[in-house]
Amino acid sequence: MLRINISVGDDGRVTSAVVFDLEDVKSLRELGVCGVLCGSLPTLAQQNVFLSVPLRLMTEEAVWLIERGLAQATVTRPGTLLEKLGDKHLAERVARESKLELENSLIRQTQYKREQHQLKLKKLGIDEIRRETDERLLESSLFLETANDSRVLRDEQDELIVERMIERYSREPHYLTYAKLKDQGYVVSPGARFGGKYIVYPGDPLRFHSHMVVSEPMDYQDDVIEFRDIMNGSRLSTAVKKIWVLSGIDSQDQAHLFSVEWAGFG
Amino acid sequence: MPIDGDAGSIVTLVRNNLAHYQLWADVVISDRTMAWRDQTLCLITGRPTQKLSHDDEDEIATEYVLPVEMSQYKGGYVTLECLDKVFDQLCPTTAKRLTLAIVNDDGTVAFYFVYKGLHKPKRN
Repeated sequence: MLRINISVGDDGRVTSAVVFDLEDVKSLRELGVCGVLCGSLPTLAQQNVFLSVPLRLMTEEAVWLIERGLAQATVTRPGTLLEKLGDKHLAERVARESKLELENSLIRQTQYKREQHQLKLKKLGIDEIRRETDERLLESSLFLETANDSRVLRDEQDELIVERMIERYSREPHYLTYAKLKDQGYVVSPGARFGGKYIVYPGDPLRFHSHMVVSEPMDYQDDVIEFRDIMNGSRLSTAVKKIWVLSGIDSQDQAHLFSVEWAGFG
Repeated sequence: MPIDGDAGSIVTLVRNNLAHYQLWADVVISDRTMAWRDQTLCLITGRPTQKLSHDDEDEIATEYVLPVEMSQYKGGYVTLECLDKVFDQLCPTTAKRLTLAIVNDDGTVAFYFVYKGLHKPKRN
């Protein structure tokens, strides 16, 4: 199952959603969720093209995937870090587990390297002689992973937090609009480039131009349509062969969509 | 013609614009009205001189125009719910779209198509 790493604030809002596994990134693409690659090299932090994993998702995308059972969440709650750092038992447990894991990892690596070495010698037809220098060389080539905060940040009440998060977003206008578009089979991207909230593609963005720019959702009953905003949005959209879409959420949490375009005269 | 918030005046203004400036045919102010907040909305029907979208059929269909005020200096009154009601109560079921005639306070009128739901952009 696809795995999304989400960071959840104390108010239950998703503050970041990232995917690290390349296979997961591919499956997401098939589901019409493209995200934005944002991984760079620490030594090349200024690099902003040819980025790699992690893939950053919009909050709506992450919530939709988790809510529809298409992905599983790994939850971190940075807000609880201080609280957790003060917990002596937790600190001891984390230290113990980290140490154990490191030891296991060293054993696994040693075993693997030795096997590889033996295979190589066998291939070359050389008998193995165990020398201490070889052992030391092997030891120095092992990978030591430094334990970090992530383990402390990991939340063990994933299910409860995910449940609360879904509950929270089930009434959120952005999420309702996103889900309505997504459920009709469209590919939805962030829309800032065209002055909207979302850009809607009829299929993969590498194969199709986008058809629609969706505006910030409004209240179906109470919000008055600002005609100047409509003109801004639809004039720009029509000029780039798109249509401007208004979204309104009613009191039953239903999203209503209207498409607006310049009539071509007047 | 003064625009003083009186719905009658913007309806007449749009009718005149369609008939004498856009040169539409059969421009008629519809009898059907709809009360919305403290306004009375009504549609203007007419037929444009040429196809307005390449996706339309060759025969020119009747357009349904809703005159609205730009309301730059006072609160507006058109909501999405209002648009839905206009579609339901004023447009015939055969209408494929509503045309908003947005009237500015200097007398200019801008025309925008509104479709219910998601609609593909027109081909140009």
